[in-house]
Amino acid sequence: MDQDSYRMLRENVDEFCTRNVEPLALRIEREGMPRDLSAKSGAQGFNTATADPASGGSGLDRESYLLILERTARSSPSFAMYLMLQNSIACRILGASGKSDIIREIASGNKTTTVDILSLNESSSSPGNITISDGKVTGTIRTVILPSSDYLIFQHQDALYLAKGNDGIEILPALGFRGLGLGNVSLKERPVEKIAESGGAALIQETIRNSGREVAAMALGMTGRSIDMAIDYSRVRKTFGRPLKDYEPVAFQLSGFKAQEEHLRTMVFFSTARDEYIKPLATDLARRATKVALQVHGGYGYLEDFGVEKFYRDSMTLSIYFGPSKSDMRVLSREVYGEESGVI
Amino acid sequence: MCRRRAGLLDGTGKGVREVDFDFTEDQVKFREKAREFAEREFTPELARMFDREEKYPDEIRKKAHAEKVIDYSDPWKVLIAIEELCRQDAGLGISATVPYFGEEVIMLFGSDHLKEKYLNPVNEGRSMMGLAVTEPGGGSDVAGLKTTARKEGKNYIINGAKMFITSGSIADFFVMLVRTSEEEKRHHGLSAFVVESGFPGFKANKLKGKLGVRATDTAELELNNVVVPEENLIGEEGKGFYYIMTFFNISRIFVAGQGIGIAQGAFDRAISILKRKGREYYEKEDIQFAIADMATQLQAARLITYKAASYLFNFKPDPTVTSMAKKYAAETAVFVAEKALEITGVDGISSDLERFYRDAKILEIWEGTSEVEKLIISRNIVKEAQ
Repeated sequence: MDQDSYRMLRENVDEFCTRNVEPLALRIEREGMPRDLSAKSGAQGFNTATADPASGGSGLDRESYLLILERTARSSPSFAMYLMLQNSIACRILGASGKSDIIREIASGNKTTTVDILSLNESSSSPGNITISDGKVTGTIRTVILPSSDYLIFQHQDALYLAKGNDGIEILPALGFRGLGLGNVSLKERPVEKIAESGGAALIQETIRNSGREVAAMALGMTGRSIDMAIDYSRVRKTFGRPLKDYEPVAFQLSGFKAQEEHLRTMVFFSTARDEYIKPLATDLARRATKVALQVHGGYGYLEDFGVEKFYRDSMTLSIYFGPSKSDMRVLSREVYGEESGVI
Repeated sequence: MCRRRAGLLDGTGKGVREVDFDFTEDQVKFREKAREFAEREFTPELARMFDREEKYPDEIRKKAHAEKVIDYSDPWKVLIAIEELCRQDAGLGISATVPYFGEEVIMLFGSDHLKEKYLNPVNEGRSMMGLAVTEPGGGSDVAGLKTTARKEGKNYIINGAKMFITSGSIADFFVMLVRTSEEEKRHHGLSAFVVESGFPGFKANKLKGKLGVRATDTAELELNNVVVPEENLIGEEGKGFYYIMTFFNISRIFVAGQGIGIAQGAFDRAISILKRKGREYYEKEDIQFAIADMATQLQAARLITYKAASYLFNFKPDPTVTSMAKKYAAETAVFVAEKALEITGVDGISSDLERFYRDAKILEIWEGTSEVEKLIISRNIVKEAQ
């Protein structure tokens, strides 16, 4: 992507966020994603940004999609996560399974899809307990992000299934991405469609592994916005008669984070470095930066009205949900050592 | 009674100082009692409910008082109770221990009239108090506060606002720091008063949507021509700043206790989740290293807190060590909660552990931010070295 295209798309996404996401950011945290926001983002082509236009997608290139994730994460990480879940995870799996009809529904914003990704996370020991017979599923799928989705994709005995709706949700404590929620989804004699005969778990895992740069783009957005908020606050907040920005630890730390943010931006958008190199840097930076941003805000940072604490919660949650996982680090170690490493 | 004495280098150039912080049998038994109370009363369902609804658990306060879980006759027991209650849940634990918050100011500097009128009902569990120092425009800069008290006959008229006041919308009265003189140097012009929430002109607005400790009540106070009788002045006019700083040197040790409790609670839960996951998971070296780091830092935080407490409780407070304890225990709570989530992953983040991560962060902000503690530590050390 050339600089002009980058700037134009960035302005376009920022304008969308200023009008449609920013005013709802607090409501998204408290009440979840409003349907009309998915419809508006669908009209912009964000919901299925990278999907094939023949299947109802927008056909944008990866850099444009990364930019959408970064800029939306600045306003609402929950909304950015929603886009990533629909695009990077659901649409890729649905596209590979020939489910163009559902991709079109996602594109319009009328329907949402979630994928059982967390039970496949290496740190999860709760895969759930389901049985499938005669094309019907019964049981519970645990720790589902956006559990209230219209469609749920999950793997069972290495095949991939699609269920429409659910029969109850047990809401779980959600540290981050509260706009999407987290829950155990119950299914009772619910009709399911097998969308892949085998390799279901591998397909989901590969899809997640191929989303490293997308995770980094979201981390970049959270880092950037939280540090910008802290910088703005440090200009106006006075202590001992001077603005916070006049104190070395504040100014130096925030400026240092700004420099690291720019470095990460270069890596995400303009470098050829592998995703495995970028993702650990990005999630680590987001966690460190959002923590300092909250601290600079003092007591006000602890209140959700100020909009900075969500970045602290969401950056930690992002690093738990999407790594870097041990398998990411094993790929990285294999590359560094030129052989299998870090196995004990 | 078995006691062990140990000398530790205090690092301030004073050489070796003695500390004595082993617990008596009575205190050990009290710890068991406090732990049993917390485990019985702070059920996960209740902790989740109060966190979700941001509601103050008044029934728990009453039970804690009735069962004498907070015992002011022995400050070690107060510290132990704070630790054990926060270990189970910080929101409920702090709520149970906070009705007495600020009591030491009246105890140390207030008149007999104030002690009798205000402290007796608090100690009998019939009333709650709070401390009102922070203002909307200033937290760390205590001497820069702007709320004023103007003398009129036998009363003071208070105008201004206070911010982030614990128990602000539920306490019956507050120890409040206000400016009584514009002419005196910044901190010399401050005085402390007992201000009842029932006084005309007093208004509290509950703050909702906190990141953590959501069972505790926090409010913004508006003070519009609040008439306070002169007998509600604590100690002498113009000495309020020193009274509050003296109080902070006490309360910071109890905040360090909150830190140890939260860190221990997060650690307990992480170990329990790891054991459930099985040996194959927790015997990996990166997990073992993380456990060792968490346990070591927790132990160090506990020792420095007990050291600071031993000085204070033996009437030889050391503000430098107190600030070190508050800062280190707060950072330990945040560190251990973070590590606990890292090593337990999806299992941890979808459990009560996530609440410990949210609760821990406030400790680096209230009762003196970590930055303020660093300034105190550094200035004292340099001053003593000259």
